[in-house]
Amino acid sequence: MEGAVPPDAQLIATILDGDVDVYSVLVRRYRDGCFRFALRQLGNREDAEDALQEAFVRAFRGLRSCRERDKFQAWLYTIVVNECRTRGSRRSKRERRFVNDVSEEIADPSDGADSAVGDEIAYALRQLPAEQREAFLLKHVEDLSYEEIAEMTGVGVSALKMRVKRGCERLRELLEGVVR
Amino acid sequence: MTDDPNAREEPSLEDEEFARQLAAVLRASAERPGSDFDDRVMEAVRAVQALTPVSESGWRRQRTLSLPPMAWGALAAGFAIIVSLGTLATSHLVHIGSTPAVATAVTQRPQPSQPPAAPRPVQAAPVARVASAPVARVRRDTVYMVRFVLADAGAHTVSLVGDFNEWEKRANPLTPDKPGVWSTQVALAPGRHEYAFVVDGKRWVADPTADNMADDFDTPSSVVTVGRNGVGGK
Repeated sequence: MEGAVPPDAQLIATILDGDVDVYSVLVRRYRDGCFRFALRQLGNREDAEDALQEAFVRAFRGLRSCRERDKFQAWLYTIVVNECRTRGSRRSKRERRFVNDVSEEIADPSDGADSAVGDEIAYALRQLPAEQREAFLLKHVEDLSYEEIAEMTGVGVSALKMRVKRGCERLRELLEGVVR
Repeated sequence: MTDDPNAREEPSLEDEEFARQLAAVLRASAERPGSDFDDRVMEAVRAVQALTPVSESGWRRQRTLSLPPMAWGALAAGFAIIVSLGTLATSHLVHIGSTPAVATAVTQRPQPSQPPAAPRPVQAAPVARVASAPVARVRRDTVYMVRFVLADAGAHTVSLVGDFNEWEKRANPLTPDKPGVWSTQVALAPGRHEYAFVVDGKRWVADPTADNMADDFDTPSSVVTVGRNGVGGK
């Protein structure tokens, strides 16, 4: 029942009144969508879970500063996006430094005989520059508007559109024959 | 790749349709965090709450302390009055010799207004907090006692390293206030300081509650800015 679900703002008020356990409701409510983004953005479960956990705890610590409590989801996404950016940046520096470290390399799905379409797409996404991947995921997978993405990333709408467009073009090249 | 402002930015219909197909596949792949994810988050959240409560009541209220006139004599003698916040919201004065400093009032400000960085769960990784208190009237030679707190239930030793102690692991060891909660106080001059914790003599840990960075070797570290209004102040 729609009416039985307490809105975010009400939950946040309860948490700030001292009932910390209520935060688990917000975690359950948004973890899957945020995880989907983090997983595609970072490319592996471990990093995605770490980033998401950090983001949720950071959100908890800053809950008082969430002024528009009915827009908690967008606020949380902002934190998740930033956390993924930070981790992605750290990892790319590490990968540049340790070129022989194969532990974080992304497997090419074409190496396997039974690669699923989802794996092919995930692999193709990893080939995009991080900013194109981020814009594409937020726009098309998380279904956010350009204005919402601009607000949470600090990137202008025009630049975001360009990133999405270029991301799409590159994905079409990479996935030719996989997705029509 | 740069975002060329002159390029045509609107995606084509083919791109839109293609993106819709991809999105449908990605949304359908019901990948979720591990089954213990919620528990880990809530464990970390409760640890944060124990260190720095987010609730709107209790110890967050501000308090001002004034020094009696007699204190000025001691100050003139060249003693620093340095203020530190306790780990769990208590506030107290600490007198430390040798560094000239002046302070007339202390305002407790235990929690920053910006969303701080997130701590990790206590069992798996540390939770840390830096606290300080602003001093109302400041001279150039004012120093601040900044308290560094790290919660790491698995640590046997913890030390604080930073540009203020030449990154020397033996300079500022933390002591356990209670099981798993380590702290130390360091006198810092106003300015920007980089620091990190070293757990068990070898594991470098950035402060998850502060702005973090990594050096050229990807070693994590954190940044604390000490100003006239205390940590994070200007």
